[in-house]
Formats: sequence, C-alpha cells, structure tokens
Amino acid sequence: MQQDRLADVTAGEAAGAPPVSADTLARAIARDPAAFTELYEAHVDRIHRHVRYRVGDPDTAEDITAQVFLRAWQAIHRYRPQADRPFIAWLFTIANNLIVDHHRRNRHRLTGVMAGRHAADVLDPEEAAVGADLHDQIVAAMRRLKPEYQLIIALRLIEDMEYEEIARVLGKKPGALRVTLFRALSALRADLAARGIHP
Amino acid sequence: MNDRLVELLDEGIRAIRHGHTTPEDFLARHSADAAELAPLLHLATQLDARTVPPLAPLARTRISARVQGGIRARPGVSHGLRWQRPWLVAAALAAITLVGLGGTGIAARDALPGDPLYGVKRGIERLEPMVRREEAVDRHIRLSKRRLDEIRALAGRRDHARLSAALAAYEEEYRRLLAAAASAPSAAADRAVREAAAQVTTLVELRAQDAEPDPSLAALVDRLTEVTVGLAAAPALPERPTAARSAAVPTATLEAAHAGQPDAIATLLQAVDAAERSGVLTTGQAAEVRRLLQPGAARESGTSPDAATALDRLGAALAACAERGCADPATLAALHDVLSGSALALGLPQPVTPRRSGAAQTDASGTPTTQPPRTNPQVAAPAPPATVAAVGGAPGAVARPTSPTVAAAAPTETTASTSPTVGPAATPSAAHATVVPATPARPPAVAAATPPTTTAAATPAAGAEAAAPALAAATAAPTTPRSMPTPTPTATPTATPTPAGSPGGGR
Repeated sequence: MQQDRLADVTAGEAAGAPPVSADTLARAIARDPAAFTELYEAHVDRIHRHVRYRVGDPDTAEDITAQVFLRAWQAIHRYRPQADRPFIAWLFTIANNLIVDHHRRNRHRLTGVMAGRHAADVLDPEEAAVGADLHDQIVAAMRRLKPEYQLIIALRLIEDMEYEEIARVLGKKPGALRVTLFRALSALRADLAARGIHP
Repeated sequence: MNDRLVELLDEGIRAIRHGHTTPEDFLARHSADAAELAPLLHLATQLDARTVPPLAPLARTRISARVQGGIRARPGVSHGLRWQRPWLVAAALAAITLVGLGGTGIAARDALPGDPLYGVKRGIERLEPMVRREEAVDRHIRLSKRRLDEIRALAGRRDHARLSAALAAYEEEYRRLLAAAASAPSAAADRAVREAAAQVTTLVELRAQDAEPDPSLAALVDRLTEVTVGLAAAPALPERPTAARSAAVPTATLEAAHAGQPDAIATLLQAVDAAERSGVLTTGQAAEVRRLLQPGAARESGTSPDAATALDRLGAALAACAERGCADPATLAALHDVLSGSALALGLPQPVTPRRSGAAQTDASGTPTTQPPRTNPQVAAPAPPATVAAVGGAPGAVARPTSPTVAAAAPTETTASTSPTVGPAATPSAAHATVVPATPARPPAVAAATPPTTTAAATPAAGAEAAAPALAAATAAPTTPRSMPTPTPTATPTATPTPAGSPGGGR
C-alpha cells in the first residue's frame, strides 16, 4: 500500500524532473543518504531555478537552494507521500517558505499596494524606461509582487506547470489559480506602468 | 476582470507556449478583448525558464557539497559542550574567569602537548563557545591555527611522542574546520577552504625544512594533501583569488568537450569567461584559450575512453598548440590551471607527464617559499629546454602529480641569488605543474607564471569552487572518526517542514 502511494507520488512528478523510483523515495524517507542524494539530483535544477527567479541574487539563490534540501533531509522521515501531490511539491513549499523568510528578513518584499507607493517616489517614468533591459525590469517588478503572485508566476510561467499540478503543490483549485495568475499579471503590469514601462 | 478574460488569458498563454499561435494572431482573433489581454500576454511571454540562468556546474558543486555535508553528518551528535542547566553555565563561567584570569590560565596559554598545563589550555578552549560569539568556521580556523602553532613549536625538537600528539590534535581540528565549511554559507566556506589550503602549505614547508622529518609529520602531510586536493590556496596567490571560480569543470564535461560536444565545450568556455571576468586571463589570453577549446582543437588527438585520458588528450592538444606557437606561455599556464584544477578537484591523475617546470623556489635564506613566481619579479628564470625534453615527448603537456622521487628528478629553477636546493621532501608540488611551450622563440615564462611548489592545496586552479566535492569527501570519510563533527544544519521554525507532507505551506 505504501509502495503504491510512493509510486503515485513519483509518477506524479511535474514534467522536467528525472524519474525517481518509489523505492528510492521510500529509502530516502528511511533516511538513506544515497537515496536522498538521488532525490536531490533529480530536483536541484528546478528548485534552484525557482529560487533564483524569485530572489535574483545568485549567491542567495545558492544558499537557499542548499537550505531547501538540508531542511528536507532534516524532515524527510516525517514526509508522508500523498498520491496526488508530487514530492517536488513538498520541496517547492519548503523553498517558498525560505524565500518568504529571506524577503522578510531583508525587507525587500513589497506588497502590491506598497509597490505602487514605492513607484510614485522613486523614478521619473522616462528615466525608468531607459537604460534598463525590459526583461530585467519585468523580473524586478515580479520580485516586488506579493509572494502569492510570485509563486503562481514562477510555477505556471517559469516552471511551465499545469494548473492541475500547481493545485497539488499549493492545495488550491485550478480555477482559483487561473484567477490568481490573471491578478498577478495585472499587478505586474500596474507596477511597470507606474514606472512608465508598458510591455 | 471577468471570467472570460481569465479563460482567454489562460488559453492564449497555452496556445502561444505550445506554438499553436502567436500573440498577434491570438489578439487579432479576440480583438474585442485585445486591449486588456495584450499587455498581460506580452508579460507572460517574457517570463519563462529560458530567462533564468541555468545552474552553473560550479554552483551545483557548491550546493552539493553543502547538502552532502549535511546529510552525511551523524544525527544527534552535538558540537562540543551542550550546557542546558543554568547553574552549570554559571559554574563554567566562573571556571573560565578563574582560570582565564589567573596565572594558571596565562601559563596554560602557551602550553604544548605533553606539558602539564596543556589540558587546562584545551579545557579553556572547550568552554570558550559559551562566552565568545563567533561562527563555527571562524572558531575552527582560530583553533586549527593554534594547533598548527603547536606543531611548529615542536617540529624541531625530535620528540616524536609530543609531536605526534600535536599532529593528532591538529588533524582533528582540521577536519572539524572542513566539516564546518561544508555546512557554512558560501562566504564562510570560502574562508575556511582558503585557510585550510594555506595551513597544509605551511605543513609542507615544515616538512621540507627538516632533512629528516618526523614520520608522523610526513604521514600527516600526505593524508591532508589527499584530503585537501582541490581546495584553494588563495592566501598563497593573492593576485588570483578567484582563479578557481573558473577552474573546476566536471570530468564528464572535459571528456565530452574532448569528444567535440558543443555543450561541454560551451561549459568550458564559460569557465574561461569567468576567468577573464575575474582577471585570471586577459582578454587576449581568453581569446587564445577559447580558440584552443574549439572542437577541432579538442579532437586533434582522437576520442578518449575515460576522463583521465580526455585530460591527457586535451593536454596533448595544448602541447601541440604550444609547439605551433599559438598561444603565449601565460595563456597556456592559465589553461593548464583550468584543466589540472578540474582533475585535482575530482581526484584524477593529472594528464600526461610527471615533471615540475615551476620547481620549488628558495628565497635568499634558502627557505622554500610558496609565493608564485608570477607575483615575484625576482623570479624570472626560464625553464631549461631540457625540462621539456624530459617529459617524454610531450612538450607543453600538463603535468601529473608525482611522487617526490619523480619530482626530485626534474630540473629545478631558482632565483638568481640562490641555488636549487629543493629536495624530495619539498616536492609534492608537481600537482601544480605547468605547460611549457617548446618553441624557443617564445620565452618559457610559463615557469615564472606557475606557482612553484607545495601541495595541490596551493593550486589556484583547484580553488574554492573546486573545493566543494573535496569538502564533502573530507567530511564524509574522515580517517579519524572520533574527530568527525556534525555540521547539523540549523533550521528556523518558520521554514521547517511540518509532518505529514505539509511543510509549513500556505503562509
């Protein structure tokens, strides 16, 4: 029974991650370092990509990525596979918590409302539009969004996950996630527009 | 916002991503909503995985080292003392005060292994964490330096028992330092790696200074050299502190590059880019190295069945290039760093031939020095052509770490003011050999551009980046189990996963 559930979990991994056997997951849960290393190898790229996109700074992204796996290792014996929730969902959740902690500590995170206020007193719109690459501006704006919006953008657009997969990660309904993405992109647009940037 | 717009946005993103349509076509088909949809669609198309830099091999190695350091650590073993009872803490503080301020403490400060007060000295050290705030890495750097000083003080006394005790204490602290580095943030880990490499270099010097070194010292140097292979030695190479950041390339990548695989070559080229950015290579040098790394050059000597051979072949290609005069010696030396650093970091033998073109230097007093000739304008002696001939028909080849005996057979270079007096004991350094162009028209300044001596710990190309796997290995398989610390990663409660597969989500 447990093996079946593990098989479901590993089979349900989001696209892009190398397959990890149910046996490997079971051994990792039993705190087998070699098995956990396999999980690490399978997921480190995606976790790092996710973290990097959301924190920007490569050194910080590296630190947080390592922390994700170290904390997963600390708690792996408490991990309970759920058939409809891939293992990487657990890692994404840990990553999200660490990213939020990071932003909180560094006070870089701004809510959507605060971002608007911030925009009003920072740059002349024309100046903002000049001198910086549009994509960099977009990414910077994304990092000013509230974590919920960052997360849906990262999972849907960066990770290219389907809503059904994201729903399993976040425990929300796909329909609600579609709305959240719409709002996230709208907030992103508003943030950029306040800086005179109109993609 | 209405549901239709939400659905249209989702449909548009999906169709565009799958290549079924373009933003323009999609918006044309939904012209009534185009004004609202257009900016959102354009934003969505700007945001995808291609815009995120992939995890670089070096960063992956660093992360892997930290994770491995954490998961290989023994659970439940504490670092040092764990005082949980307030009265015990108070008693300990009182003891520190009494001992630390009293004559005993002062006298104990300089105690060496075997001295009556040495136990007091170590006892005070064990209590220090209670009254002194410092990072674990810094604590172990400080203590390992202290242990090294003790070795230095005992090295010339011909007291095998006391020196052995000092060496054992040092090795224990050294491994604690590496273990602390494995779970430390990047900056602290980098600090620890540099210090560890510098300390091994010091030990090598100590061994070299003694015509009949204590066997315990010689054995420790061998052990730590092995452990430390791949670690940086920035202290010995201040002008190239970031050399290693471009140096470590996975063996598979080297092999694949040798086979002409574009991706692998691209990875190597990234290393060269990093070397250029960090000032290790000049723009001109980087251009030469890039040309060397083109598929044609890498394939010159055919494909290779294994990584070591691949390194050899790349070295041979490099030598062929040198013969043609295609790059200046400094460039070749820099490329050698890239290649040999990779091999060292991976514990592979160095490609091609045992030799030391940059043999150990001696200063005016005859003391071997680890300062690279590159930084010392006084050291400018060219490598004798005979050196090239001695490498077995592979001029310019990258050298392999050699036994002291082999290395001692190679011609040595000296400064103008000293004679070559470096003996076998000073020559574990062929790990850092170099590439010597055979073309007489090109002065073999490579010798001057090559750090002359010491262990692989002094190899700049091995570097802090390359240190990561070595760190993991060092912490995972200590030769002295009792000294194995446990770099248990700390966790903040807010980010610690909760049971039942619900790791604290939904903040």
